[in-house]
Amino acid sequence: MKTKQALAYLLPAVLVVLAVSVPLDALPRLGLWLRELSLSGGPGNAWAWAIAAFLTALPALGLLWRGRSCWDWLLLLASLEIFGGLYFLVNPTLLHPLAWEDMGRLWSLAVSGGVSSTLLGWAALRGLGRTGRARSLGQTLERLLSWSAVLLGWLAAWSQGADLLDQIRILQAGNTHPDTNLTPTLCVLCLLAAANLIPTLLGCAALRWGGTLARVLETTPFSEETVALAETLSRRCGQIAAASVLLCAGGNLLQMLLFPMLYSVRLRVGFPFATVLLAVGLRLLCRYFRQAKAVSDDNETII
Amino acid sequence: MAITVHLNELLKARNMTGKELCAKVGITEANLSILRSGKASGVRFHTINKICYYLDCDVGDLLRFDGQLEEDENET
Repeated sequence: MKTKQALAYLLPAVLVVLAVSVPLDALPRLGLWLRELSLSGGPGNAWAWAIAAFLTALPALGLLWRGRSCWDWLLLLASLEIFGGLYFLVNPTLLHPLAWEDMGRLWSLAVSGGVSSTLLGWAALRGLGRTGRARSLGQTLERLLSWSAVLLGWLAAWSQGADLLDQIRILQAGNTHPDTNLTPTLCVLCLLAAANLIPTLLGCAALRWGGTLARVLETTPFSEETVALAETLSRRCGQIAAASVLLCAGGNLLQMLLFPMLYSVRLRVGFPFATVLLAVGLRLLCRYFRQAKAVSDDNETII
Repeated sequence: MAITVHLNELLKARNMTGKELCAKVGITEANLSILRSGKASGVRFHTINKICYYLDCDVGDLLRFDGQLEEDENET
């Protein structure tokens, strides 16, 4: 079960990496290959159309999902997006008369963004419709929150890492003097990246704890353990909010103190709205839990 | 307690055990014990109906008011 869970956590991360990295290289090459195939003659042209038709029909695999949904028309939209994307990859001059060098990659990014958002929207809306009929809503919510936590954490780490590498590249490219000591600036940039990432990762942990609470709520909503878990989670969310604020302020203070030594500064004013709201919401929920538990205990003494 | 439960006397009079009454009425022995000891905060009409039916008695035989006003623990 642990291996399966680990794979379940890794899979969305791998898919996200593929989804963003594949289009930049593979799709423009696919467009060129289909174009060459199409221009090679009658049979080649037929094959090119057959491949395009096959790729266009791929979203229809979603219809294999049990039951129909009013959102299935999004699969048709995704198919149209794929067809349109492939058509203009094969015929770039029809997309824009200038057809500049990077246009293929940009168009690929646009198509992959459109198709993935349409398909993700379909999956999300279908999944949402099914939650009303789910036998164990608590477990469903726990899985959803766990997956979301892992995915958000991965995306935040990847985004922050890419941003840091970009800043380092810009800093090094802009450094024209060989004797310039960039080490303090690089260290501060790394610390700031960590300071920006930690609150997000802590928020992901809060999502995971929220999932545990959702599962426990379903089985024993009025138990002392459930109330204690909600109070613990509320306290932890408060600590996360405090850590977010302090890390943000600490990062700005560090840059102010080291200002004469730095060649790049990034000042940020942040407020962890989501975490604070979650902490306050959970505290209110704990109050309701206590009241509900008192009513439940009193009800138990009514014969 | 302002309202007293006279279940023990009725069970003795009807020559019935608590266990038998539980089986007929459909309540647990633990709940019956709570009722007998006067620690119950309330009794459903449905339960009173069944107890009175199987013990062949009136509500006034089962529950009696001693004329006192009991303080509500939740309001203090």
